[in-house]
Amino acid sequence: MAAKVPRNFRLLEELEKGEKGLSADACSYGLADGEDMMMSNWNGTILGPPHSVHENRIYSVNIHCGPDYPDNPPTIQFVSRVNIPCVDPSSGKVDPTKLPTLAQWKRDYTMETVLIELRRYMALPQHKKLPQPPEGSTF
Amino acid sequence: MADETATTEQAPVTFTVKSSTDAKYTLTLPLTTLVSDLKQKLSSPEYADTPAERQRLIYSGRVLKDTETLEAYKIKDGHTIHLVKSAASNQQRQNTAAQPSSAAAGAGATPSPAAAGVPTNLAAGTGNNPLAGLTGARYAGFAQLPGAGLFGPDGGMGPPPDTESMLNMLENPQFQSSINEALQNPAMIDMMIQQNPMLRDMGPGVRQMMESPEFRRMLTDPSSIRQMMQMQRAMGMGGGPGGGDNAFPAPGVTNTTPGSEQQNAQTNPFGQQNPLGNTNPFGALFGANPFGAPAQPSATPGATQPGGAAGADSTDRSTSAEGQTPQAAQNPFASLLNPAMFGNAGQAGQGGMNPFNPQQNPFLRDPALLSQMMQGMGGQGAEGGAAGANPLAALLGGGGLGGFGGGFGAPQPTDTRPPEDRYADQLRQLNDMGFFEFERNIEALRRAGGSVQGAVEYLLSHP
Repeated sequence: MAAKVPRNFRLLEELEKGEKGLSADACSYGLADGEDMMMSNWNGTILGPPHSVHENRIYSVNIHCGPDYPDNPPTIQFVSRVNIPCVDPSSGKVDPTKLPTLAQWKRDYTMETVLIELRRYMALPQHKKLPQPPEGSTF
Repeated sequence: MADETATTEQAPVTFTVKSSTDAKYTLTLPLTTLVSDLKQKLSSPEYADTPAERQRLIYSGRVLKDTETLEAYKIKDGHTIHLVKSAASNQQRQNTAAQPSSAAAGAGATPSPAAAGVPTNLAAGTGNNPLAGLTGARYAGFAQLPGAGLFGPDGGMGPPPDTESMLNMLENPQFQSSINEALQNPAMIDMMIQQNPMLRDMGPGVRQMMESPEFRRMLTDPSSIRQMMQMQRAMGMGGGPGGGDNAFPAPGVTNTTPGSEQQNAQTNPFGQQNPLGNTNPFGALFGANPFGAPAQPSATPGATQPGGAAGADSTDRSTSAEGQTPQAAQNPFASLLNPAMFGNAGQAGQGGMNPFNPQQNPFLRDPALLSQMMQGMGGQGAEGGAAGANPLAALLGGGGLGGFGGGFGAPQPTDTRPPEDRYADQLRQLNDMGFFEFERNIEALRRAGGSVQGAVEYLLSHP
């Protein structure tokens, strides 16, 4: 961990991983706008974890990687409506203080880490039975 | 990023479709292909063999819409599209009409009703083994599967599960009902039996036992387990290492306190009266202690009072247990071993509460079967650690996973390789995920019993 990977190298790496499907099966991510040289805005999807109300749902999120990513966590906003405590019920924004990965962000974390963490969060026993808005509704 | 020019439109792209079952299909299609056409292609048996309306394709964080072309999503050579099958399994194709056909609408708002008899918490349609789906990578690390911690440190390679956590788990009605459900499912029982040669060899009796409501109650009744813990403690063999040494652990061998038990097992004339002969299956019973639980002495007046079990002087056991009378008085074993096993006079003290009352439990009416069962349990002891000391504990631990095979599974050889060898694959995966601290990775893998997902969880929760 001697050398710090610069932002765009890191994002290119993540982009490749997302496009080539090298990441976990349960989530996917890619650039929202392929022309965006800053690679700031990303789309992500999370497959609802099995054995929960989220099963068989696909949640779309917008990920914004600020200029200080990966030193600071990206901001995440759900596009698909979802009812979990870390997501603002009106805007769909993920409250970074409520998600451990974001609250204790490390440079090593990636967007994939966050998506996986969100998915895990949905599957927590206390969250997996929460009533959910109809599928397909968006913020 | 490339501008759409005429040339890119002409050239077909070769990309990979990765299905949620880990299967990969490589396709070469022109960029003008509609997503719906791609789905049509994938629906053939040659590929995913899933009806197009049940396919959902995800690329770069976006759900592909049927009406768009591959070009619109800028799919390029070598890229991967994820294929997710909505709800249901092959058995439930007839339900597919209910599924929204548009991928954009995100099919499968409501999971189709599970096939009759298959608990909804099991992955249906994954072949003979209802648990197969649970072992898939996509299920890794989700909360329904107990965390590695549940199996105790080192993912169950070490001491048995923490009794407290097990009790907590059992008090969770959801867990209880899932165990019940699992045991009610004949396929599940079949699987449990099939997975273990020892159980398999025991023939139909096992099935009978598994299906008996008493056995189920025993598995799911926290108070039973609590009794068992107490008893284990009382017997001074709470997961003692001695249990792992021998397929028929002679109880107390490594323990001086309950020396009289050893006598029971080995030198006591009781051995001759023992209808099961000299093989002493009760050694296994003591060591493995699988059936201590249901004796429920607190609910059984006869057992808690000295006049009951210990005082049941007509029984051979209590005479030998004199050396530890105070223990025996509270010791559910006494009641279990005497009346329940032998169905003799002491049984009166039991009342109707004991699920192991031979009259209630056909399994116990057959001593041979019982001894086989004990051997099975005792054999488990050879595995040492969690399963060894207490197969039931392991069973319960495994139960959370739905993996009863864990409890009854065949002993596995201990892996003595150094962790970095043993976990080479997992370490590589962790590195790929961006966890570079070798020491911590090893530690996490060790705790998670080699599960990458578990290790990641550990790493993330212990920054």
